[in-house]
Amino acid sequence: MPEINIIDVKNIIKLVKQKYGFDPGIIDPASLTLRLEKLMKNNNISDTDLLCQHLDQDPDFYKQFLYTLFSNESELFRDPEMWIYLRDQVIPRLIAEKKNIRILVCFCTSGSDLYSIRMLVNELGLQKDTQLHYSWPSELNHIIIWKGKLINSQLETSLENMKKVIPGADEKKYLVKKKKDYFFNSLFLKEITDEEYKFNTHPGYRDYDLVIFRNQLLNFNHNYQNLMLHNLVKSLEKNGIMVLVYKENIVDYLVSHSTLVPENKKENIYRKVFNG
Amino acid sequence: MDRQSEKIIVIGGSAGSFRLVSDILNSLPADFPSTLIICLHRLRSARNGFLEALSIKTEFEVQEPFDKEQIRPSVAYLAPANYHLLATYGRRFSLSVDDPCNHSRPSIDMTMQTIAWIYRKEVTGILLSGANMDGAKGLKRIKEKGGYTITQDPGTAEIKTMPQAAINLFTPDLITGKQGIIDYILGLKS
Repeated sequence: MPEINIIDVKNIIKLVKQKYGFDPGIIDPASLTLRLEKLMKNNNISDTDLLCQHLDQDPDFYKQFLYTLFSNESELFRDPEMWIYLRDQVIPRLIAEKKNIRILVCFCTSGSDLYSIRMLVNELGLQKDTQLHYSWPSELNHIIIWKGKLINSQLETSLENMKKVIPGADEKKYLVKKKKDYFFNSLFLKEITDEEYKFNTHPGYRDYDLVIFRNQLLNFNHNYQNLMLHNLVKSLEKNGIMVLVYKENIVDYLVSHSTLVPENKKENIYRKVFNG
Repeated sequence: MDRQSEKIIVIGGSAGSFRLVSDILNSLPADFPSTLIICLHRLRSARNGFLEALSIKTEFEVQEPFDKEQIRPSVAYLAPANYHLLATYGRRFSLSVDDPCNHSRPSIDMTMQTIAWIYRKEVTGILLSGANMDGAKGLKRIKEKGGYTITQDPGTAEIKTMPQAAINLFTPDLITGKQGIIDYILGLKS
């Protein structure tokens, strides 16, 4: 496998920042290096000079670069206990308080959480009472989310999770088989709005009652994690809920910001207690 | 921080390795100064049970790290289910949901490769029994960075594919059975 050293990584960061205005230095260094190596391997690029040449001269290659940085792989209803908690506790309470709720799936990379919340809302009969919005980090992520193709290796786990979280749901209603592959039924994406995630400015989200932001903080370094959290907390309504994953650690953020209190410590779910 | 506590031992294994990992942990005194990082293939959907099973008999502290957690001496860290466990700058862990590598998440190759970047010659990499070839390239990377590499003797492994793949790829520093591995680790304390 190709190997990239820290000097190469710094040069690539500098080039991308100058050429495209995006700073890959916000990404966790280990993840960044592994993903750069993957990009080189997938494109048969033998050294970093060639990689820099592609990045410098080919805007389409840059799109692929961005996608490689943010191509995660997940299953539907990952961590079913968390989704059951949303189903039984969070969503009914929000609906009781507000009648109509706004949900943001932030930094959507694979679509799995977006499809999951869409199915859950539908099964709860709340599609008319919810506005669903998501942000995506790169054009290729956006295209992939709209295509809705599910990853075959994750399908078995996805189906198991669906049985736990939305028992009795007709899986054929949501998952459409075309030849050997399964796709999320595009009918359920129609009323969802979306936008590109803005890395360099405040995304300007606001008034959300539920923010789903799972397994995305992992991608970034500590400073950018805090910035993202700060922006997302700003986007929440009072008593709004933010959902992370159980392995994400925001202790440092909580120490310096009193706006978030744990709603469910085990599943890393937080509630905004006052408008800061 | 003394020299011994900077040592990192990274252990990878899959089918047939659980009992040996458990025996290694049970042999360690609570004050063993080095860090153990254990990357075992496990069920993606089972968050609980594995850590508890490994912790039953050992005096050594065993835990699953959180993202960006500081890597500390005298702790054994177990890669969480359905995440890659990476080491990153500042001697911290970084978790990842990047696609599986060798059909595995956690992937031993990815853990060993990043540990090798950060800790270089302070690393001892150990590859145990398993039914696929994950870990061979990562162990080789440890050797290339100046670390020490051990594979379980394929003749003593329940499933020899994984250690044999490493031996086919390069020459590990030590090929030995269960007791040889335990003796080597305990020898690091002295």
